[in-house]
Amino acid sequence: MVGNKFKNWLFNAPGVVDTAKLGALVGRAAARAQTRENEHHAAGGNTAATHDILAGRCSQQSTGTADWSDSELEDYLFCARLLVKESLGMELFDTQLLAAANMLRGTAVEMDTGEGKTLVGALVAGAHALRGRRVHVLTVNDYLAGRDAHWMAPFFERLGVTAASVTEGFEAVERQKAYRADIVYVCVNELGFDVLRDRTRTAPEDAVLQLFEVCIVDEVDSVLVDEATVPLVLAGRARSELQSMDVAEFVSGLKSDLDYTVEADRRNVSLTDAGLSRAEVWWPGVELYSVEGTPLFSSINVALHAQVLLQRDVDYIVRDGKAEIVSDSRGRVAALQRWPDGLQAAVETKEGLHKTEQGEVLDQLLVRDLVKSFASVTGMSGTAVAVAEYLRTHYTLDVGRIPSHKKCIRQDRPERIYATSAQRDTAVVDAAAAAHATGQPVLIGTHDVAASDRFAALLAARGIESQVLNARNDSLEAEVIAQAGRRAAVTVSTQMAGRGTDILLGGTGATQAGHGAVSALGGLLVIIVGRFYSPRLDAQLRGRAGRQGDPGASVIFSSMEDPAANGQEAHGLELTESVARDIDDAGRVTRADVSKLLDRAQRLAEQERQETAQNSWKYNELIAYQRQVVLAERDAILRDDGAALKVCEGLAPARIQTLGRMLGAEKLAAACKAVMLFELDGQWSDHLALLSEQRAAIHLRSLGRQNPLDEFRKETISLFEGFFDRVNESAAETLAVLDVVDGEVDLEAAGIRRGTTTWTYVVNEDPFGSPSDQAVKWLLKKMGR
Amino acid sequence: MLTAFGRAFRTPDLRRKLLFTLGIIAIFRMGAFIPSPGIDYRNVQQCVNAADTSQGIYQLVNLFSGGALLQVSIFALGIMPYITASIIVQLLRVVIPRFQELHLEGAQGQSQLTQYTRYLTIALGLLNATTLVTLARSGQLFAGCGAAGKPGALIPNDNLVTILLLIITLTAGSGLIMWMGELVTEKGVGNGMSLLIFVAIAAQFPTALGAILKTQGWGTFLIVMVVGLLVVALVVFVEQSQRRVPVQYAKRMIGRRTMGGTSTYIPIKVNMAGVIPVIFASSMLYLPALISQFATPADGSNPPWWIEWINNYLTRGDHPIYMLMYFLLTVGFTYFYVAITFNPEEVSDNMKKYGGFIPGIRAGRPTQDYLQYVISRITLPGALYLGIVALIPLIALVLVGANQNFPFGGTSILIVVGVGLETVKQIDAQLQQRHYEGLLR
Repeated sequence: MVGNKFKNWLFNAPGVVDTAKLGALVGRAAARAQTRENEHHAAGGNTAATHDILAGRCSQQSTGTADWSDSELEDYLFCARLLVKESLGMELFDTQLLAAANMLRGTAVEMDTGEGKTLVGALVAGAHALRGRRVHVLTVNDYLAGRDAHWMAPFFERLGVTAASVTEGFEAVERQKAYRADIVYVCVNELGFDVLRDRTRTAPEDAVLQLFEVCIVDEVDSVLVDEATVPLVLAGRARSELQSMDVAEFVSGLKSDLDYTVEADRRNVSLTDAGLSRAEVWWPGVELYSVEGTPLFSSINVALHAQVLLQRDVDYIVRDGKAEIVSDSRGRVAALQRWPDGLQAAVETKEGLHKTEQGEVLDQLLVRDLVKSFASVTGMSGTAVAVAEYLRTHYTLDVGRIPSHKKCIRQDRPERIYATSAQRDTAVVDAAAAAHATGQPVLIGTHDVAASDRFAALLAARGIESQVLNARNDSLEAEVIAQAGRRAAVTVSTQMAGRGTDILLGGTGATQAGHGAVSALGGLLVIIVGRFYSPRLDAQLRGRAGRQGDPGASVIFSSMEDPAANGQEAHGLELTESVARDIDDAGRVTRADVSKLLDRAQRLAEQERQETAQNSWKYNELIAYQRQVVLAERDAILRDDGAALKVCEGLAPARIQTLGRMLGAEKLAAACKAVMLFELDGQWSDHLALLSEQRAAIHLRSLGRQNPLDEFRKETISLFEGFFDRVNESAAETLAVLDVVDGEVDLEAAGIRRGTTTWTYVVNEDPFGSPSDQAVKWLLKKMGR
Repeated sequence: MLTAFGRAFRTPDLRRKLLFTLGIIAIFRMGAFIPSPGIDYRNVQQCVNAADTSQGIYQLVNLFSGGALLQVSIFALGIMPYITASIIVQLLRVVIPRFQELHLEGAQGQSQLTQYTRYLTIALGLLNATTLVTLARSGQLFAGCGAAGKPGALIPNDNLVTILLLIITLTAGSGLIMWMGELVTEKGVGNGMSLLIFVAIAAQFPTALGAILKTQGWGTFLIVMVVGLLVVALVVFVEQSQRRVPVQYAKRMIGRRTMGGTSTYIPIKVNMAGVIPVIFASSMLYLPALISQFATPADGSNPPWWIEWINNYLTRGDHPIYMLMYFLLTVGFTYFYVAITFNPEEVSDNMKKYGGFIPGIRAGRPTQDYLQYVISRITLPGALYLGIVALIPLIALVLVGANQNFPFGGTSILIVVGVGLETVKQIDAQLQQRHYEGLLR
C-alpha cells in the first residue's frame, strides 16, 4: 500500500473515478423495471393496484441510513425508473441511472449537454429526501431553480417527498415555508444571501434556513471552481461619511500612456509622473503621498480605474438608470452584484447616473464555505473532469464521466486563426453567411455584450437577420433559445448561451419531420469568436450542438490579438516576421504551432484565475472562523432576552437604572438587545475593513522572507484580540447617549440599516517570487532575455 | 516555545501532524544507521576512526546527510540529491525557455517542474550512488582505507550483483528521503526538506560536543556551552530583526468608524541573504585547495611557489589569512546576493501598480532610491554578522580543536536556527487557528 502511494506520488497520477463499476447494478435495476413494465402491459394495464404496490416498495427505501448498499441502490433505481415514467412520462436512460447511482455514492458526474442532468439531480435528491435528509439543489440562476422545481414536482409528489424553490422576489415568510420542504431548489447566491441575512437577523424567529445536509450542485465546475471565491457580501450604508472628491473631471482630461499607464493584464492603472504633476497643479498644496492626501489619492485611483479599466457593454451594461455588472464566466447580469470600495459610485459618476449609497461591508461569505457547510456534496456538469484534480484537493469530491446515451457525432473543426481581430470578424460573418445560405442554423458565441451587438450589425449589413442573446435582453432568453434551432436561424450570443440552455433542432416543439429536416442540413453550427479563459467554457458553447446524437458542428475563430485583448499573457503571439510569411490573403494564419500558443495563453489565464480563487479562500479561512465565534456570541444574545440586559447592567449600571425607569423592564431588555447586536455587527464590520487594508499590503511581507499568508493570519488574530471588549466599550458609549422619546428608545439614532450588495476584487499574490526566483530573474536579465 | 509545543500536543489535529513529523524524522534517523547490503559495518567503523573526516569534499555532503554518508548506510546520500536537483531545475529555467514557461504557468506548470525535479533526483541519486560505491571500492572514501580486495575491505564480497544491489539501495534511499520530505510538507508541520536538513545537522551536535568534552575536559566544555548558547541567542535575535518601512495603499475607499491603527509595512531583514553567502564563500575557498591538489607534481618534486603559498595559507582553516579571506568572501557574497534577490525597482513598480506608497515619498524613482538607501544601509550590519558567524567554527578550531562541524557556528547554526524559527512559527500559526476551532466546540 505504501509502495502504491509512493508510486502515485512519484508519477503524479491524477484520479478520475471509474463510473462503470456500478454498471452491472444499474443494468439489473433497469432489467427489473423493464420486466415489471412488460408484466404490467400483459396484465392489461391494471394500473391502480400495481401503483400501490410500487409506492409501497418505494417508501420502504426510507428506512435505510445515509449509505446505500448495493441492493438498496438497485431497488431505488428500479422504483425511480417506473415512477419517473409514470409521473413525468419520461423514459430514463441507463446512463441517467448510472449517473444517479454514482452520485448517490458521492461522486460528481460529468454528462454531456442534453443527456438529462436535471432529471438525474432529481433522482438523487429524491433518494436522499426519502431517507429523511434535507436536500438543497443549487442552480446557477433563479430561472433554473424555479423551472426545475416545477418540472420535477410530479415525480417528487409520487415519491412522497415535498419540494419547493426559492427565487429572488420571495418574501421572508415565503422563504421560510419553502426551506421547510424536503427538497429545495435555489440559486447559489440566493442561498448565500439567506445565510448572511439569517446571521444578521435581530429576532430569533426571523431565521428562514433549515439544517444543511445534502447539497446537489448543478453545473458543479462553475459553482465550485469559477465562482467559488466570489465573496457574497452583505453591506449597509456606511456609518462614517467617506470624503468624496470631485475627481471625475480631472480624470477624464488625462491621456493614456502620457498621464497614466495600464498594465498588460488590464487589471491595474496608475498615474505616471506627468499625471502626478497634473494632479498637483489641479489641487495645489495637496501632498498626495501623505496620510492626509490619501483620501484624495484613493478617489483619483478609483475614478481612474472606473474610467479606464471598466468598459461599458463589456464589464457592465447601463439599464434603467443603473450600472449592472456582467459576469464574465456566465455572460449574465450578476444580480445584486456591485463593485467594492467606491468603484460603483465612480462608474455611476462616469456614466452620469444617479449615485447609489456608499456601502460598508457588514458580513461576507464565500460560495466555497457555503458549499462546505453541507454534510455531503455532489453535483453534475458537462465539464467536470477537467477540474477533477481541483475538486478532489479542495472539496474531497471525486469526479467520474458518464458516457453519453447516444454517441456524439458533432464535428469539432480545427481552430481558424487570423492575424487581426478585424480579419477574423469578417471571416466569421462569411462563415455564418455561408451556413445560413444552406439553411443550417448558426449560433455565434461572443465574449461580451458589445461584441454580440457588433456581430448582429455586421450580419444585418449583409442582409442576414439575427437574434441577439446577451445580458441586456435576458428577458427574451427562453424565446431566443426556443427559436435558435430553427432552419436558417442565426443567433448571436454571449456566454449566456453556454450553460443550461438546450437548443432543439427545428426549434422547441418542432415535429419529428422538422427536426429531421434541420438534421439533414448538418444540425446546429456553433461558431466561437475567440477562445474564452477556460477550455471548459469553449466546451460548454460547443456542447450546444450535437445533443443526443444529433448532427452538429463547432469551430473556433481566433485572432492573434485575442489574448492581449482579454488581458492574458500573450507571450510569443506577436505578429513576427516568421508568422507573417504564413498568412494568406484573408489574414488566416496557416502555421500549426500558433494554435499551441493560444492553448498556452488560455491555460495561463485559467491557472491564474484558479490561483487567485485559492488564495482568496486561504485568506478568508481564519476570518470565517472568527465570524463563527462572533456569531455564537450573537446567537446567545439573540435567543436569551436577559443576556444583553445583564451585559449592559455590568457596563453602565446607573444608566441602565435610569433607562429602566423611563422604559419599563420589557422595553429596556429589547433596547439592550438592539444595542448589543448593533455593536457586535458594527465591530465586525470594522474588523473586516481593517483586514481588508492589511490584505492590500500583505504581499510585501514576502520581501522579508516571510510567508504572506502566515503573516496575514497573525494580523487577523492580533486584530481580533479584545474584540468583545471593544464591543462592550462602544455599547457603553451608545447607552450613554441613547435618547428616550415618549417612552420609546430612539434606535434610529444608532441606526441599524441594511441592504444587500456583493463585490469582488483581485490582488496578485507574491508578485516578487522567492529568492531563487529573483536570482533566476537576475540571471535572465543579465543574459539579455 | 516549549509551552507552544505543549499546547500543540493537546490539540488533536496538531498532535497528529507533530507525531507524523516526528515519526518521519525517526525513520530518517534510523535509516542513517542501517548498513547497506554488502557493506561490512565493522570495517566501515575502523576506517571512520582511522581517517580524519573533518576536511575535504565530503564535509558539506556528510553534514547534510547527518553523518550517514561515511557510514555507507541506506540513507547515505541523504537529501543532497534532492537539493541539487531542485537547484539544477531552478537554474535550467535560465537555459531552457520551456522550463521558464512552465514556471510562469502557475500551479500546473510548477507541479510539472516538481515532477522533473523528482526524476532528476533519482538520476542524481543513481550518479551519486555509483560514485560513492566506486570510491568505497577503490578505498578513496577513507584515504586508502577499506579498498576492495584487501583485508578490512568495505565491500568484502566484491561482485557485480552486490555492487548493483548497493547502488540500487542507495538510489532508492535518496528517493525515499525525498518522498518523506514532501510528506512532511504535506501532512506534517513545517517544510519537509528544510526539516530533514535540520535533523541531519542537529544529529551531529552530540558527537561534536562529545568530542570536545573528551579531548578538552569539562572546563572548556562548559565554556563552549555557555558561549554557544550566547551565540544561539545572538543568531535568533539578528534573524528576527527587521526594519519596517511603512506603506500606505490608496487604491480603494473603505469606510470605517475608527480610523488609523493599521500597520502595513515592508519588512527588511537585517540578514536578508540567509545562509547562502556562507555556503558560497566556503565553496569558493575550497577551489584553491582543489587547484593545488591537481597542480601538485605527481613525481614528488617541489611544487611551484604559488602552490606552496596556497598550501600554507589557504587550505587550513586555522590560518589568519584563510579566516580573513573567508570573512571578506562572506561579506562580499552577502552584498551580491542581496543585490540580486532584492530589486528596489520591482518593488517600487509593484507598489505603484497597486496604489501603494511610502508616506512622504513619491512613487516611482524616489521610492526606488529610498528603498535602495535603506537596503544598502541595513546590509552592512547583516554582512558583518554573517561574516562573524561564519568564522566561529574556525576560531573554535584554533581554541578548542573542534572540527568544522562545530555546532555553534557557520552554516550549521544558521540553518538550524533558521529552520527552527520557521517551524515554530508555523506551529504557532496553526495553533492559533485551532484555537478558534476549539472555541467553537
